[in-house]
Amino acid sequence: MGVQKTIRYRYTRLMPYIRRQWPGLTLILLLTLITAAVTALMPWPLKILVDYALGDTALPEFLTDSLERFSLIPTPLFLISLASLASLALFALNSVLEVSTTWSWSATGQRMVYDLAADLFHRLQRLSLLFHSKHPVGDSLGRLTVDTWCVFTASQALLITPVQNLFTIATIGFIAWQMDTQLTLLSLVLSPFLAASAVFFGNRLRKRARQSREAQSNVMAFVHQTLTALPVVQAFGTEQRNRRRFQDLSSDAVTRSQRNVLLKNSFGLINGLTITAGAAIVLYAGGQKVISGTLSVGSLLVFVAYMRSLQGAIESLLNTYGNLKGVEASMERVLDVLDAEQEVQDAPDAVVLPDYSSRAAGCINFEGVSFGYEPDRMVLHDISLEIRQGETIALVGATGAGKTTLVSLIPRFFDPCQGRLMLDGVDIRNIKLTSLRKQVSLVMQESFLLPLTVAENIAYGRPEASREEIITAAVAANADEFIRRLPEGYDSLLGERGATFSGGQRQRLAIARALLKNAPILILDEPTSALDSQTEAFLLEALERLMRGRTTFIIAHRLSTIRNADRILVLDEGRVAELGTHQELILVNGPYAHFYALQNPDTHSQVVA
Amino acid sequence: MKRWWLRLIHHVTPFSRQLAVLILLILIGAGLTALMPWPMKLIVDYVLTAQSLPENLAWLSSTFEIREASELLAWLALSTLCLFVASRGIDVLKAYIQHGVGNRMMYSLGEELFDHLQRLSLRFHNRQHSGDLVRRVTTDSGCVRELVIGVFVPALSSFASLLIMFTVMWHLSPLLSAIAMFAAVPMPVIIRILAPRMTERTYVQQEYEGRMMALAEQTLSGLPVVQAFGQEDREERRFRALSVCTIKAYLRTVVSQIQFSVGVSTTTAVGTAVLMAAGGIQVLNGSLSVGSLLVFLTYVTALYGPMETLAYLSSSYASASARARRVLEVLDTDQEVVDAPGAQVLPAHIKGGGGISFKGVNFGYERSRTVLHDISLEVQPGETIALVGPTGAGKTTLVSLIPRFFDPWQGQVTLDGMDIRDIELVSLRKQVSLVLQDPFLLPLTAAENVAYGRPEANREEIVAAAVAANADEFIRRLPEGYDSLLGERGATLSGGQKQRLAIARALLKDASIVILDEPTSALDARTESQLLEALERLMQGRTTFIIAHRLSTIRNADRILVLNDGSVAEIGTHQELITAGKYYQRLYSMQTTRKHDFIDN
Repeated sequence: MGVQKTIRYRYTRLMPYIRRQWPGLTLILLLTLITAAVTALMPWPLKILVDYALGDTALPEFLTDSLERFSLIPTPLFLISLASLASLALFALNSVLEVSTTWSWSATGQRMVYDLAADLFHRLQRLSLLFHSKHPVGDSLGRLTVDTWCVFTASQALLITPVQNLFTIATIGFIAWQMDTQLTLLSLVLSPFLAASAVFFGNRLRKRARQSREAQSNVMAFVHQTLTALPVVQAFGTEQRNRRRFQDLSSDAVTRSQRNVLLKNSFGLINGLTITAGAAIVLYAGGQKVISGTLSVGSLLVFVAYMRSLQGAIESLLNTYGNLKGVEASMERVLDVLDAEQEVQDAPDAVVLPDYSSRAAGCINFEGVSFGYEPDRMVLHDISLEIRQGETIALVGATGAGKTTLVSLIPRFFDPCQGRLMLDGVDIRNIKLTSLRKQVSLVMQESFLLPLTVAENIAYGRPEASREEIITAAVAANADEFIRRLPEGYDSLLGERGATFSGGQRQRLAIARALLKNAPILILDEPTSALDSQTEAFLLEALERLMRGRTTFIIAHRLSTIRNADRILVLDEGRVAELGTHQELILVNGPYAHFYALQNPDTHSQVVA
Repeated sequence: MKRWWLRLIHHVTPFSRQLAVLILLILIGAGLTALMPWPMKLIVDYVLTAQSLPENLAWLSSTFEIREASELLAWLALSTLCLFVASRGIDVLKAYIQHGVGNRMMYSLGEELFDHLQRLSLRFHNRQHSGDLVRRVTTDSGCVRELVIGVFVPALSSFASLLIMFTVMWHLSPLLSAIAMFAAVPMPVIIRILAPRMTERTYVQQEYEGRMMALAEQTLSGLPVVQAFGQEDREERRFRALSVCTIKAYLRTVVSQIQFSVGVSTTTAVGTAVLMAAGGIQVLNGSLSVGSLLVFLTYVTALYGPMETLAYLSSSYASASARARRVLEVLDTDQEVVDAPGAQVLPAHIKGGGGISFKGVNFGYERSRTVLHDISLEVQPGETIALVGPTGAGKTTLVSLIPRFFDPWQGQVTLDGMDIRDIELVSLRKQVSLVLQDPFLLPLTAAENVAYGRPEANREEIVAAAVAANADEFIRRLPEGYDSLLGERGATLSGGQKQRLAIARALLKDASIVILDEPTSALDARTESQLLEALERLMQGRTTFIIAHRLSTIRNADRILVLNDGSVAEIGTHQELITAGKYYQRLYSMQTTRKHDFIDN
C-alpha cells in the first residue's frame, strides 16, 4: 500500500502541469478521436474494390439507391474509381490530422516541460545552502533539463495514447462485432496473457529506468565539477585520471542503459507475439468461413486489416505502459526537489518589515542559539548576544570557530537548531524572507560574481539603481579606478565568477555591490583579506563612514581592520569566549590579548599596560 | 563544417563489426518485411478461390503433405505468425545493438571533448559558461549517434526495403511499378528546398537550450549571492523568458518538419489512389490476380514508412549537424599551451629547487589589455621571493606563467636555463606545487583531496602533510575523519579549513617549486603563525614564490619583489627596500604605524 501510494502521489503531484495545458490537450484529444474514426474507415475502399468491383458480390441497397439518385451506374470501372478516390480522400484527411496533431503536441508538450522546469528552478533557488551542499550542481542541472521531460511522456502516456487507442479499439471492436461476432470473440482469446505480461514487467521497467538515469546523472555531475575546478586539475595534472574516470562512468551508464533497453524490448516482443498469435487464429477461422461461403473475401480482408489496427492499438497501449514505468524514475527525481523540505521558509503569518524609507532599526538579539550543519555536530553552542542599533561588532576567533556560521544565521541562510534570533524584537522566522534579506547587506569570503556586466554586478541587489549610484558605490569601494581602465568600463562583461579579475578587484566589486544595496545591517566577512595594505587603508576609511548608523558585523583576522569596532566578540569552538571593547579585552589578558600580541610581535611588551 | 562527419568518423570505426552485423540484420529484416503479405496473397488467390497452387509453388503442398484447402490455410496462417516472430526478433536485436553502439559512440566523443576541455587554457574557460560546456559534453556529443543511428541506419534500411519491394512489384506488374516509382519523384525536390532552413533552425534551438543550462548553472553555483541579494525572482523571470524563446525556436523547427511531412503524405496518397485505379483495371482485364493486387497495395502502404524516413533524413541530419557544430567549435579551439615536439622530461625532483628566470615577459588575458610589461627577473634555486603590490598589479598572473597556465606574448620563462616551453607539460607541472586564492576542493574524501596531486601516497604521508598544514586536528573531528566526503567545493568547511586543506594538498605533492598565493589570508593570527613555521620549514631547499599582503608573512623572504601596474617597481631584501624609501617602505610603515596608533590609544 505504501509503494502504491507513492506512485499515485507522483502522478497527482505532476497533474497540475498537464492540466494547465488543457486547451492544447483538448484540441489534441479531439484530433486523435477523429483520427481513430478515420482509421476505422481506411480499409473500406479495399472491400469496395475487392468485393464489389472485382468480385461478384452485389452492392448493398443503400449504395445502389444513392447512386441512382445521382444517375450513376455502378460499373466495375466506376466502382474502382470510387474506391481509389475514397482511399485518396481518407489518406489526405489522415495526413491533415496527423500534421495538426504533431504541431499541437509539439507546442503543448514543450510548454509543459518548460513550465515544470521553471518551477523546479524556482524551488532549487529557494532551497537552503544545506540542501545544495549535498546535491552537486551538475546533478541538479540534470534534473532540470532531462528529468523534466517526464511530464511530456507522462501526459502522452496517460491521456493521449490511451484515449486514442481505446477509442480505436472500441470503434473497431463495435464494427467487427456487427460483421462477425464469432471472429471478434476469437480475437480476444489471448488477452489474459497480455495482462499478465504487463504485471510482470511493470516494476522491473521502472527500476531499470531509474538506474539508467542515475548513471547518466553521475556523468553530468562529474563533468561539471571537473570543469569548475579546472585550475586545480591543471595544476595537479589530473587530466589523465579524470579521463579514465569519465570512461568508467560512461561505461556504467551504457551498461545500465542497455539493460533497460533489453527489458523494454523483451516486453514488446512478448506482447507482439501474443497479439499476432491471436491474429493468426482469426485468419485461420476467417479463412474457413470464406471457404464454407459464410464470409466474403473482401470482408475477410477488412477483418484482417482491423486485426492489424487492433494489434497496433493494444501494442501501443502496452508500450505506453512500459514508457510510463520508465519515466516514473524521472518523476521521482523531479519530485525529490519539488518536495524537498524548504528548511528556511516564510512562516504562514510572516510580517513584512517597513520599507527602505523607514527601515529596520537594527537591534539584533541571539537567544540561546545552537546550530550545526549536521544534527550530531554542533558548530555553535548556546550563543546569547545583544547587539544595539548602529553598533559595530567585530568577530574574531580561530578558523572554524563558527564566525561565518554565526553571521549566516542573520539573513536566515539557515535556521538555528535551538534558540532564536530577534530583529527589533521580532523573531526573524516571523518576518517575510524577502523583507528580512532586504535589510541585510553581505560581503562574503567568496565574492560570487556573475557573468554580467560590471554595472549589473554592482547593482545586483538593487537593479533599479541609476548609473550615478553605481559609480558612487564603486568609488566608495575603491573600485571605480580600475573599472574605468577596462575596455568597456562599467559595461564590460565579466567572465564566469569574475575570473578575469584579480582577487582584490573581485572583492572590491563585491563590496561595491553590498554598499549599493544600502541596507541597515551590514555583514562583512573578511572584506579586505585579498587587499594590499594601501588599498585596505582606503577601503577601511570608506567602510568606516558607511558603518556609521548601521549595525555592522565584521569578521577579520587582521586586527587593524577591526580597531574601531564598538565591541569585539571572541568565538572559541562555537561559544562566546569574550565580549567587550578593545581596551577592556586587553586588560583582561584573555584570548583577544593573545591574538593581538601575536600580530604585533614588536610591540608585545607594550601590550601589558 | 561541410564534411564534419569525416572529422568525427574515428568515433564510429571502432564499432565496425557491430555495424556490419547491424547492416546484415537490416537486410534480413527488409527481406522478411517483403515476405509478409505473401501468405495473404496465397490465401486469397488459391485457398479461398479454391484454385490449385501453380507449378512454382506446388512443392509447398508436397513437402508439407497438404491435401485439403483448410490444411493449406492453417499452414499459411501459421506462417504469418512465424514471419512476425522472425521479423520482430530481428527488430529487437537491431534495437539492442543500435542502442549500445549509439551510446558508446556518444560517450566516446564526449570523452574526447571532455579531455580537450580539460586541457584548454584558463583563458578560454574564463569566457565560457560551464553549464553550456557540460551540455556540449553530455548532449551535443550525441551528433555521431544521430548520424549513424538516426541517418545512416534508417537510410540503409529504407533503401533495402524499397529495393526489394520494387523488384517484386516489377515481377508482378511492370506497369504498376512504373506508376509507383513515379510517385517518388517529387521527394528529392522537396528535400532540396527545405533542408537548409531546417538545419539553421535546429542550431538556433540548441543554442537556446545551451543558454538555459548556462543560466541555471551559474545561478545554482552562485546561490549564496542570489539568496543574499534576493534575486531569485529575477533569475526565474530570465529563465522563463529563455524557455519561451526556446519553445519558439523549437516550433519553427517543427514547422519545417511539417512542411516535409505534408509533401511526403501528398505524394504517397496520390500514388496509392492511382495504383488502386490502375490495378483494379488490370484485374478486370485479367492481367493481374486479386491477390497480387493486394500484395501491391500492401507494399505501397509499406512504402510510406521508408519514404517518409528518407525524407526525414534531412531533418535528422540537420539536427546532428547543429550539434556537431557545437562540438567542433570546442575541438577546434587551440590548446594554446601545448607540448613542443621533442619536449624534455625533467627528473623526478630537482634537488635544492630550480632556478627560475623571466626574460622580458609580456602578457595579457586580452589583446587590448597588457597585464605584465617587460618583466625580467632571476630567481636562484632555493630562493624565497615575496611578491607585493597593489591588487590587480599582476602578481597572480606572473606566478601563473610558471606552471604554464598561459604562455607569454613576448619573452620567455626558463627553469634551470631551459625554456619551459621545451619541457613536457606534465613533467613541468609535477615540479610545481600551488596554493591558490580559491582552494577549489572537490567532492571527494578529505584524504583524496589532500592526495589529489599524488594519489599513490599512503595514509601516513597524507596525515603528515595535514599535520604540517595544521589541518589534521579539524579533519579528525569530522564525522568520518579522513574518509569524510566533502560537499561540493568543500561547502561545509570554513574558509580557513579549506585553505589549510589546500596547503596540505600542496605540501604532499612535495615539488621543488612552491607557489603560494595568499596562503594565509583566511587564517587567524595564531593559525597563521603556526602555519608559517611549517611553511618556512618547507620553503627550505625549494624555490618559493609567495604572494601576501601581510608583511609579517614575507619579512623573512630572501628578496621582495614589488609589482606595480604590471612592471617591476622594486626588488631587493627587506633591509635594502626599507633603505630605498620607496613603495615597500611606505607599505611597511603603514602597517606598523597603525599598530602604534592602537597602542597610543
